[in-house]
Amino acid sequence: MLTFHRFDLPGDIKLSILPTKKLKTIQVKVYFPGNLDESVTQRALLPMVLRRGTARFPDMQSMQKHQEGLYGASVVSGVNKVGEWELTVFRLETVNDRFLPGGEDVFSEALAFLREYIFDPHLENDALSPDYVELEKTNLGRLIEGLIDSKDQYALERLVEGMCPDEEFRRYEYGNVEDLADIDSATLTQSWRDWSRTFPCEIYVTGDLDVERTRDQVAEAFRVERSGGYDLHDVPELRRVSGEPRTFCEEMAVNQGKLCLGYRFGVNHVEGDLEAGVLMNGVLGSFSHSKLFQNVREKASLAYDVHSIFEKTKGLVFVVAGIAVENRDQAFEIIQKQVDALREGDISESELESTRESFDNHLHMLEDNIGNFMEIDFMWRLHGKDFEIEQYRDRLRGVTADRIVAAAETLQLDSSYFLTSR
Amino acid sequence: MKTTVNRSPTLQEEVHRVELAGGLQVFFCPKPGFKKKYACYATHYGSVDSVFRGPGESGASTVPDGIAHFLEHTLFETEKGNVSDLFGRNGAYNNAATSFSSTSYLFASSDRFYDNLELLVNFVENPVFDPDKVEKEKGIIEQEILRYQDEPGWVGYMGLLESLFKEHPLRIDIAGTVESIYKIDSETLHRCYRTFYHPRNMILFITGDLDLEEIFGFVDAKSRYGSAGAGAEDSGEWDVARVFPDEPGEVASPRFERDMEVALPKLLIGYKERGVPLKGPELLNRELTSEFALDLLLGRSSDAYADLYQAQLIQDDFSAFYYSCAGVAFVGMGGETPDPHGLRRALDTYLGDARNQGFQAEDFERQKRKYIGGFIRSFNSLEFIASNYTYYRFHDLDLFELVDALEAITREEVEERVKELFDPSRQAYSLISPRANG
Repeated sequence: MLTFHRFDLPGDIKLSILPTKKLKTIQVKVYFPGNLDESVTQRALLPMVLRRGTARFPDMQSMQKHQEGLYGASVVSGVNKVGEWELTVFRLETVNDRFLPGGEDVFSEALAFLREYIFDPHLENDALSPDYVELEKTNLGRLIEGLIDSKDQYALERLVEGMCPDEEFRRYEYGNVEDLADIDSATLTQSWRDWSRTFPCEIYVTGDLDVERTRDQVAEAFRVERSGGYDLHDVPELRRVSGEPRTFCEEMAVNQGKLCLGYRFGVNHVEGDLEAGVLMNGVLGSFSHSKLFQNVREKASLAYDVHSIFEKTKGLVFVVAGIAVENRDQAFEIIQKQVDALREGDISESELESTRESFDNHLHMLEDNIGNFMEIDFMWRLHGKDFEIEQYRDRLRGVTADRIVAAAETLQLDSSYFLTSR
Repeated sequence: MKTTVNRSPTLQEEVHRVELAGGLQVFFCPKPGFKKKYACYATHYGSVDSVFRGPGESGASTVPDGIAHFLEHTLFETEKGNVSDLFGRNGAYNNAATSFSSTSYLFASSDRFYDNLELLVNFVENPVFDPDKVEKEKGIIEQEILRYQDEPGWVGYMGLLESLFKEHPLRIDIAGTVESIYKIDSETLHRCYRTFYHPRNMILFITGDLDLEEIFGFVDAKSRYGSAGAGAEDSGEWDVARVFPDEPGEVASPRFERDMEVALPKLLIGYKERGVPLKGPELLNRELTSEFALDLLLGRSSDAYADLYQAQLIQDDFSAFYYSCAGVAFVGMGGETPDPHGLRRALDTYLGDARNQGFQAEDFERQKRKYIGGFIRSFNSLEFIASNYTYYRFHDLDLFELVDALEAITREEVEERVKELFDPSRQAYSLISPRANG
């Protein structure tokens, strides 16, 4: 049984500790959720500059050497988009001291290092190093432009951009190249100060550890001055489709076409029948027994990869398929037929049972995948809900075919995007 | 059945082993308290095994490229339907993968573990070669190949292998080509199966919160290689000859260049090696000393990395690695760069200088700590344990001895490695460049 121990630390920091015997490491995650808005590029740049140097270790090389000396303690930082939020995440993983040869106290030092990484960066004249900022602006620009290297991701981003032109959700999680020109050391330093002091801050710690001692260690390491007070938006309201489905098409020198369909869904984390939505997406396209895989791939041999994604914050469903360019119409038709089949209640007992069993197994196994378990707990709390895994599993189990049909009836095709060859 | 146990005090793990009557080795790593149970059935047979003499055959012959991978797809089709459907009904996650040197079939589940294990053992041991299904699979594999052809990372990687190796099958894509897969038929698939899906060439690895006696008893009862199975009679030695061509010293081509839809050029520089030990402690030492050398020279704490990053010749994705397979090996290094030729020149200079310089004891010891930490950390993953334990066994090695092997490496050995690894005459590179628009 996995149980979180929750604490409020000074400086408006929330701490969740999850003891488990299943890990040989200790994992720490620090989340700063914010709104996905016009500051997205700046927000994406920030962790890239923070990882360049801290007060004690002013460059990457000395930081890296320090981490190697701590048996390869790793710190990874970045941003990711969840609905119309943008999360800044820092993740530390270090071998549990119990497994180390000399019984060294690596964890305390690793925690101090993590705090320093976020709250005590390398400053020059009280500002983030202009050299670091400029160089990382170049790197971020390359990262943003590099989206095109992965055709699946690129296609999905382009679909979202076309589908949601007046919604914050349209933004790419790394922002856009045009914004970079307006960022310099002064603006980014100001942004870092506001962000580190006012944004919500949640720390998660897991591993084979003692709860009280860990709480004290974290409280000691994270004694920082923070006021809080950032205005984090609520979950966005669901939107419905107005007018005919839109179609976007782009030509490129590729061997395989990518077809992406975007549907508005009457279900998200806070509205509609969430469990039915999850099951609906399962029957449609999460597994190899799902309708999309069976019909687009196995029966028609049109694709190697075809699946659907349920975006639970915005209430959207995406279907993605890699197909030969000449098969676009046929693939489109077969995909739409699967959605229609769901709406008409064409769900076999075996499809339903396979999907239920798959989620059931998945949730059981989630209890071993501690990192993901923490992540889901955080995501649910971000939506104002508690993640009670047993109850959630029971609720999924109880979803009937009728409820899946009712959920599927709320699917509306909004837009489709096709990446095709020249 | 006689079981043996292998314990690691450092890792606080143990692995039990049993050999079935028919010669199959089964391993079990207990994971008390875990909900997830995991099994992986693997054969030491991959895409490079394309020329061989099978059991009872008089001479060696060549099969079409991509057949090991095709066989993996074929095994999924059983008389009771597609294996994924059958696992799906039990709620299990399943998958399979073909590499240059092995093919593995796996599943993970919390419930109905024994149903799933029976399914795994059955479909791997009792294939169906239905010519219609073989034909039908070609369209799907074709899309899989085309998908990879749009992935710049993979195209660059294969481009480097093609340039480095003249004869060795490492130069051929694991999935083969669209042309080669259309030459594959059910008869040849069957021949490859008979040859390489032999109990002496396979390993079944199981991990989870399970009972030792029960698990080995169950496998013995269900496997065709168990005491009452059709394949119980141990055929003794596995009489197969894999044939690998002599790889010449020089590279096939100094470079591979391709324009693709990418934002920045992607450079991958490689050095090839021949005469690499096929197995045993010599292979492990070769791999570890090479990785150490690369990390010390080009890793994130190296001077070279700091300089190249500051000069904006490399970015976060830069990496250097060593890969060995079937008697050959290569070093790969590179990533995205705005100036591939500038990066190439800079790396040439570093590596040239490095041959005459040693390493600091302090850097070397720190590197060891990082490796030991990384190794302990990887034991969080059941998948890591299963796949690596199996890989090590296929190469007559014991994963649990890795920490000792790491401890035993000397600075002199690694310095020696640096002198051998970067021979300019064995260098090639691949370069993926952004397509000019228009």
